[in-house]
Amino acid sequence: MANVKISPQKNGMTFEFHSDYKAVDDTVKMCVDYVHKQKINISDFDLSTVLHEVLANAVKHGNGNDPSKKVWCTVCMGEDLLHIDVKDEGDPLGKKKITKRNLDECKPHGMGVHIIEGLNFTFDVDLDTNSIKLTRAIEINTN
Amino acid sequence: MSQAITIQPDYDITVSKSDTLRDELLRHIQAGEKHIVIDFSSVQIIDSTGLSVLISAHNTIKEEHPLELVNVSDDIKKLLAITRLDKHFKIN
Repeated sequence: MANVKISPQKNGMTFEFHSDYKAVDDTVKMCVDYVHKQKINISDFDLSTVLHEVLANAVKHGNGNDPSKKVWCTVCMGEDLLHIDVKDEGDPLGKKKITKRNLDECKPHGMGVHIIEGLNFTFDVDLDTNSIKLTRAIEINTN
Repeated sequence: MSQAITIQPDYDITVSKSDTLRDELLRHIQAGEKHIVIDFSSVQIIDSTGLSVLISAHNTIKEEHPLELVNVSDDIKKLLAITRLDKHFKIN
């Protein structure tokens, strides 16, 4: 496992790592395991896929693959919402252009937001905290 | 038409491993292969970087034969539908 620092939060957990793709893989597994233990009805595939998108994006486009820069991923459960907050040490998000591919074209870019939204997450940029915020409706299994 | 060659990744095709698949596809394309099949039976997750690798390979060979994916899980089929790549690749 890569070096991932874990910090408990109210109703959630923060995962902190230096920019490295192996750390992305490890953080995704740790986040999915954590959410799974909370008995939330979200598929491991949906959660893993969305986390890979946002964490790899933070490493590549946010931190420019600079291993000295960190990424923070906070996963929190509300009453009926799963919140994922991803922050990096890159330029302010307001200056970045988030592209979405024209889906009728077969071009190798701009698919991340389509994937996130297609898996029923809402996607938002918080300019105040310079972070990406994802939310998805959830139910907690009580059985 | 040349015989199909099959690639079987034994890893999830995410950003940490996509270069491995890219290199393998490139090696076959440079060798003149035009009908490439990727067996997804050991692949559980693919992200947009992995999909980009597939798109680049497909766009190089599609005039001869679309990129063919076999043994694709329902979850990954869902992702291919979301990105509409199911309209471009041949999926079995």
